Amino acid sequence: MKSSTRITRHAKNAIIGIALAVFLLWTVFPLYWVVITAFKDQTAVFQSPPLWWPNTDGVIAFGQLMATGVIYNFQSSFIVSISSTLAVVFIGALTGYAIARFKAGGNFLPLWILSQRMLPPIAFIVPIFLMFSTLELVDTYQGLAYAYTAFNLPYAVWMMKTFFEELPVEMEESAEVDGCGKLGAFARIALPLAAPGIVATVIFVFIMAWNEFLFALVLMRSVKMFTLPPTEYIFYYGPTSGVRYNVASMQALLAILPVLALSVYIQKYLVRGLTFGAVKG
Amino acid sequence: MSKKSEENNISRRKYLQIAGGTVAGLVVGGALGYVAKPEVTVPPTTVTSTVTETVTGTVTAPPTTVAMDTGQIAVEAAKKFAGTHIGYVVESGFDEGCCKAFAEEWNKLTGMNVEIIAQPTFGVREKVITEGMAKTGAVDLVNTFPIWYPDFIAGKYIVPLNQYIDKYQPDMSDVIFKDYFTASTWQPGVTWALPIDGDVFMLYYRKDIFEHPDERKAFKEQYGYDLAPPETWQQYTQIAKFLTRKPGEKLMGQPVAAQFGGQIEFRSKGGVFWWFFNRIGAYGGRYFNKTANNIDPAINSPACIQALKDMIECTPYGIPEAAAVAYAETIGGMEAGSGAMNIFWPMFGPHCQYAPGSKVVDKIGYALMPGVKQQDGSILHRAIMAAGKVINLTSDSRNPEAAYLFAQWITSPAVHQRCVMWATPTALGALNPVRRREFDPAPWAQEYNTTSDPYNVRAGNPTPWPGAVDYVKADEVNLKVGLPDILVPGWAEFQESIDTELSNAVTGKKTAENALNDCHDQWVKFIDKYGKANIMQWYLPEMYEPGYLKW
Amino acid sequence: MGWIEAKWTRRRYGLLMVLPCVAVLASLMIVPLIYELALSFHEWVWGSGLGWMFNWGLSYVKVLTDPRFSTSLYNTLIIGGSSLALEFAIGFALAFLLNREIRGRSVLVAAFTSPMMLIPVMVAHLWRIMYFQGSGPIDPIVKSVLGYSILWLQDPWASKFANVFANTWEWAPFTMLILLAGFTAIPVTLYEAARVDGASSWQMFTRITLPMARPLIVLALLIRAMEEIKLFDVIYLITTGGPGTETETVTLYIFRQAFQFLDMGKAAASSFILLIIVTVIATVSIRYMYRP
Repeated sequence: MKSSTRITRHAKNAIIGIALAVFLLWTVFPLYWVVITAFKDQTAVFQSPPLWWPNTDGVIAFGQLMATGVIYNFQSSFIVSISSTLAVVFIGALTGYAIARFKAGGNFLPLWILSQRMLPPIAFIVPIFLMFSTLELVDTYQGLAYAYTAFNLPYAVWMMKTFFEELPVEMEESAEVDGCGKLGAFARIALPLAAPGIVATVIFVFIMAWNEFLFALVLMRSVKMFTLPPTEYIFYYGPTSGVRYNVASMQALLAILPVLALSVYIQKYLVRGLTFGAVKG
Repeated sequence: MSKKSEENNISRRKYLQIAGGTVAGLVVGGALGYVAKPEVTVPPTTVTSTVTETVTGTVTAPPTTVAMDTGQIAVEAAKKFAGTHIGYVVESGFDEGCCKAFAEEWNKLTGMNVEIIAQPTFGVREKVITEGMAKTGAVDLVNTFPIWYPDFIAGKYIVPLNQYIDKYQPDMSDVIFKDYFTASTWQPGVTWALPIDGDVFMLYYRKDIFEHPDERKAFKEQYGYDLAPPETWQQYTQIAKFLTRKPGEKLMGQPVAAQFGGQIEFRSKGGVFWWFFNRIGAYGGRYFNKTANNIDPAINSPACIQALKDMIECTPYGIPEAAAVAYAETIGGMEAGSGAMNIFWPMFGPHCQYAPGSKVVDKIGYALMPGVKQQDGSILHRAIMAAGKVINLTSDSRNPEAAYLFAQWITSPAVHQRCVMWATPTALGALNPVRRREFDPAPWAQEYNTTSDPYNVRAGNPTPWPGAVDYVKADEVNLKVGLPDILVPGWAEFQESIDTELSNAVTGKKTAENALNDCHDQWVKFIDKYGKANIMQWYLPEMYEPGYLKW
Repeated sequence: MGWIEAKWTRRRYGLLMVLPCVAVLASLMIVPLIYELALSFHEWVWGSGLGWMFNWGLSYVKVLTDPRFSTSLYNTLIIGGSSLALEFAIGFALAFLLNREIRGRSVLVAAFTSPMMLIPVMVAHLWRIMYFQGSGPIDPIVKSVLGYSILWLQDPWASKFANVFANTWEWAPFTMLILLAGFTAIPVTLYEAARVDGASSWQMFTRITLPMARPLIVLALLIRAMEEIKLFDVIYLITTGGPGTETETVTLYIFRQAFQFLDMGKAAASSFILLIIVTVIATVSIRYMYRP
């Protein structure tokens, strides 16, 4: 009996390992293609049959990319994404906790918040653009960051709310009894316990801001102020510029690096949340 | 139990709120609409069926004894505007590269600050309208397609240039099709723009394949005439069929690794309509039939249906998934050596020659668009003048005169000659000739038969381009048989409709007749939507007859 | 008295804490919403030189009778629905597989999350390059497995699924992330207690993990469903709604009305119809989420 459970355990591990490997391959293969496309020359991208390995060194695409002044677009993306993410997580955590614990706004408020995200952004563009241009917020970092804050709050609030609701109330109540006060209970007990959820929210919101395309295209005007997605669209789409896929791929690679770094850095908080849960019992 | 009734109460409350909001919205909206409605004005027009050569103002003799180039005049006059910021919207990609370089040159010469705002092709129009509606003043100049004229003029987003032309006297003496480009055809005496780009589709083919003895022999045996750039669309299909090779079959004596296409034209949704319009002219097809009181779409006439059928017939003689070929694949595929013939804008010529990694350097030939044999044995050739650009001044520009001076400079003979020969690594052939003198092969030979760069237009491209002279000659002959784009209000919806139906036909979902008939029905609805009188006023049938536009 | 007092402080705290959120959202959402609602009852074509013209809701009729609109709803259902199903299947499987002690788990999670981080425009470019026959790698793989080629960009059904796969590849990590966060938050003690009671890992999964993570599952479903309905970037760049109208979804339809035809009245009307549909779906799901 003991040896059979050991064998089944090995078999189970093997199956898990194979499954993970298959998924990993499926995830990574297109990324591999982006990498080699970035290092091919412009015409080799369209070679038939396809090249499975780059035929030139990547300095060419990188040089062309830098020559377009894309560094400003990186800067713009950073500023707008980081500021809006911080704002969203801060406001979202407060709001999510209030709704989860204090039932603030009853049933109506959470639904109203979520409903703000239901209308397709395309429908909003015209009035928001007119509003922003009257307030002179067009082509500014703060304007776009404010818009992103408003867009991502609904999801952030709901994610936080759900994560806070998961936590047992006893921990916070005992903290209050110990003299923490409501906000103290929030800051010292609830937040750390909900760390995995907060991490997921931060990653999600940052990615949404980093990748958002439509409003960045409309609310920014000068090329230096554009964030990365509109740059990708403007420079590499259409009859006269849609050919330089290698430079576009190089830009894609560089654009993914900050987000990747962020998520790797934050991963450890995901793990820390797990151990918190274990200690709790 | 109480919770359920509470829920019901809440949902009832929500419905009341929504209903109340709707009513409030109606009231607010009605009030807003009443207040926001501007006067309805129709642009002043006269319906003419004959074009009179327009004379723009009286010519006064310049005070100096030495005649200055009109570009230099602009530079001198612009120096007093030093420091002014001008926003110039152009198509991203090639236009952008070329215009940026010249904008920098201008900024150095005059001290002004012209900034290029790049937009993807069909985003240029939205940009102008968006900024114009908000009256931001951010956009002063724009490279416009003439197809947008009706929308821009009706919405008053651009202004005529007569006052500046009278003052600064640009040299427009040898601009081809001047009245079409400047929209003077519709309003004689009014000049709406300075022409900057003469687009037309050209036929490109692989010279090396067409001259290869094995291929020539096999083709002559099979079809009975010599392998040469096709003169009729029928020959085009035959040559495409002949030159398509499956993997393993031989091309020029060598087996091909992947399918080689006889033709790799653009066929995907999102532009295929231009390639269709490119054909209908030669078949005698027209966009609309206009009578004294009525206008009816004519794109489902037998001529057009035949053109579409021929187009569908030759589509499979290409690379796999030929019906999905879009801009990237048609350009990239040709340069990777996957196709024998192609039809595209003039920029394709320099692009094939100078694109990094291009496998068709010195191998491309340039020819006249195929045509259709007429009753009397002659062949009628037409080529679509797709897009074609002019430079417009926006109505909300804060510095119109300064902006105009830049426009005059970049379209002036000496400067524009350099623009059309521009072929730097990132702007491989941007703007195209639009003056008669720019078709003169001498400057092209001087520039491209050498490794030096006498006109300073191809930094980093020392490779000569012996085909440059043939290229500009082919550009000229195609323009001479050019068929203008349609200019009607609301063109975007017409375009989307025919683009979709053509895509349906090319992928085999609908037959050619059904697709074009459906398109006809949709177009009739659009004519109602945008106003029959409006459309009739902009559509001048005689403009699309061969030889009508003055060269 | 202590209880009433506690309730009063809770309400005060609650209101204060939600105030910033409400302020931000109201400023940017309420006014435009009213504007759009009003606009949907008028006819307004940019660039025509005419202003708003009240048309008694005729725009709604025009949209609802437009065959292209119903096609777009159908396409949205197919493309969005398939994407959702696939994203969930894959995200679930991944969260399940990763919800255990594995060496280098954080690296694996980061690797699996990477597709989500690519800008959608670039994902679309990438997949279009990969799909195009002749120069893309997908065709050789498909041909060797199936024996024939699939015309991903040309065939009506294949083009729908071309978008589905690209979309799934990009967003399955999202469901994985949320589900994983939910799974890992479940205290280990529960599992230990269950193992003591002799439960198999499958039983532990279905009786402990799933029920406890249920709100998160529904949340992820809800968010992804709404995002699928609003899907635009990827489809616009891979197939542009083609061939014909095979992959034109509702957002693409609205986009064309708003930015190609500049028919703002019709765009507003179709947006509101979409809003109603989404609201219905969301309300139903939320009711389900709160069922005990």
